Amino acid sequence: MSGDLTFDVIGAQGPRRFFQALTRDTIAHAYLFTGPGGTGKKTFARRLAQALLCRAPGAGTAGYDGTCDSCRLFSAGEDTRNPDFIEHTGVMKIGDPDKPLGFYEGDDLTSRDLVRNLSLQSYLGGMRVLLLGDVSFATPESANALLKILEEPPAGLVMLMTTSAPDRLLETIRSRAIDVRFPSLAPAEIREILIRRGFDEERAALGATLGGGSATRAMAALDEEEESLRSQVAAWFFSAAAGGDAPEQSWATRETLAEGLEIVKTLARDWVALGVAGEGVRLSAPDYGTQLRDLAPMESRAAVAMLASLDEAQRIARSNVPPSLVGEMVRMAITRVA
Amino acid sequence: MKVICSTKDIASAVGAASKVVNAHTTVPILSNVLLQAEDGKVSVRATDLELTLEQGFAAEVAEPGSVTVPAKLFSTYLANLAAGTMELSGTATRASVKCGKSNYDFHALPADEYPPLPAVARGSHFTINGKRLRDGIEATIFAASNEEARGAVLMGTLFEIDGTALTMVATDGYRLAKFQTTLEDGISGSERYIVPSRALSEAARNLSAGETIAVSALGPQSNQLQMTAGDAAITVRLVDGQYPNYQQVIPAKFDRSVKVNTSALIGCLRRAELVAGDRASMVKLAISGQTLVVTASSDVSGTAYEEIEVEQTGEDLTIAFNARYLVDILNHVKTPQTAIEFLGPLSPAAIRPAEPVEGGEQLYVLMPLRQ
Repeated sequence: MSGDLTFDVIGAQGPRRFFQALTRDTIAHAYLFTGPGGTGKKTFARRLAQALLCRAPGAGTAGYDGTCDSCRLFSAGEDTRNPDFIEHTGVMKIGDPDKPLGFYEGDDLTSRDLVRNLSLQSYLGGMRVLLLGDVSFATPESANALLKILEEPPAGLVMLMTTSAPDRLLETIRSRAIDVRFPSLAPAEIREILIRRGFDEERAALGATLGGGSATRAMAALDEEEESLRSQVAAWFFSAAAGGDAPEQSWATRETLAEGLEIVKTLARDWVALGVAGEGVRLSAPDYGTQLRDLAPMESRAAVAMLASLDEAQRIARSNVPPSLVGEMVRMAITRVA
Repeated sequence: MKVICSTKDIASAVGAASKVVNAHTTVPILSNVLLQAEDGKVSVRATDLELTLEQGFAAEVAEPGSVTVPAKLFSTYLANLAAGTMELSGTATRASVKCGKSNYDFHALPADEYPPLPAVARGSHFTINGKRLRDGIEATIFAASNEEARGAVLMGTLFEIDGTALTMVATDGYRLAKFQTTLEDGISGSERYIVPSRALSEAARNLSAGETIAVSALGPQSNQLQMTAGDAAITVRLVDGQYPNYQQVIPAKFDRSVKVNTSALIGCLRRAELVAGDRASMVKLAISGQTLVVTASSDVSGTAYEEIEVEQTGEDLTIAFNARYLVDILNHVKTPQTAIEFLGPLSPAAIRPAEPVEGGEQLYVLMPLRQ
């Protein structure tokens, strides 16, 4: 039967192997998933929760079948959830001691709500999983309220916490959970995640380069891309490289000059690299590959001169020279070779 | 799903089940009620994941099936319908009502995304007379703790079942209430459940006392307890934990006792408590020569002195109690006379009706205060 089980995560091979080696009986009661943001810690935790609560024979840390009563509540979306899976993201508050009794899951789940919920038996009769994503506590009291659960966990409870800043957690919490490290994602993994989220191949490939190992950052970068400085600078760059008539230097302002120059340098280096090494060279800005290839290849001496001028422009940019002047200097360096 | 039913029946069932719906839930489907139609019956269910209420009613089921609709919207709509019949049909995304010349479509969520209840656990099903269960609930849950800091176990009421004997116990560490009765159909062997007291007061309110109540444990670890009477059912998640050994606090034997008029003693204590002020409402009971003297004093309010005639057995004694706790207990003694037994001034006292009460045996234990 276990052949029908899946565990749908991209990347996280290490954590995957770590949990596969465990069973529902040998799994500990608390884990702290650490690693850079956007590396799939919460996604992994949700899949692990689904697997631990799956009712298919053989299911467990190995995976879930995706069709049982429990799995259906996981896959149904935002409107419902498995009663034995509690998820909260962000800051935990202690909760109001004067709040009327009764099970209350308000807009903001508090430590007190959790303690109360976990004092009851599981709803469906099996394990229970608590996911505290980007875990942080408003006050030491709100953290301490959960200490009892960490010290004497109810049978069948697995508590998963994720954070990209483990040092900010109280030592009392950290020391009671097992650390599981999530590495940065490889570009190919980010690409796959983006494609699954509905991005087309080209955008996914771009996101993979911009993400820097984080799927969250990749998506944020893609969202902003349209409006971004990068696209403005690129448009200006190609217009200048085509020897066009002095395009407007909208990017050369006091705030954006330094970043804009970095982008110009990236594109210029790609241009040089294409000229020197030809096709097959690995570009730093692959999304502009077509436009870069359309530019006339340059002589190596001209290339060195252009890159030197760009370095000089960067140096001047740190001084009190007006940004527009620096922009003009860069434009001249580019049009000279073109 | 397609049913034809009376507007009155469906309105009262949806209204009854909706009570448990939490307006602030973050899970949208939990603000809905689930309607399931089958075999000439529609059952309406709502839950806050701790307490689940179900209410059924008879209807003409043209097509079995289920639908979930927003509880507040739907119950308010139904409450405003004139008496008559209506036709309700439901799909995964829509619930449609035809009533006279009006047509309403409500947005629904898929019924199979509604949290299911676990299956009945084997061998833990019993039945009890409705009045006995209600008497037991009334006699015990007031003594349960209402301080969350003391833990969920003490906030619950223990159900201890051994064959056909049911013992209900609630305590907050200062006082203890125990009610013993017999079941109609018992279980083989014994079981212990800790039931959240909130669910029991809900049960006492909703399940009619005239009927037999069927009780079943649900889930592989007896995760939930379901109480069913006729068309109504209440299901509650049980408390996870060990109930303290309550037998330990009940003294095995006593060496003196009094029989006292219940309402007279309540009156004395209520008046004396006014004077006792903030000193833990402390009143002193001095028993001597067939007389009980109740005294209290405080620097702020003054002093109190009351005398009642009692039937005394054993030696004289002076003992102090929290007046409020003692009044709480005496308020649950339904007989004209109350028997109080003692074992010295520092041991817990036992309080019970002086005459046997039909249906169940009550016992209360109260810790004395240091004088």
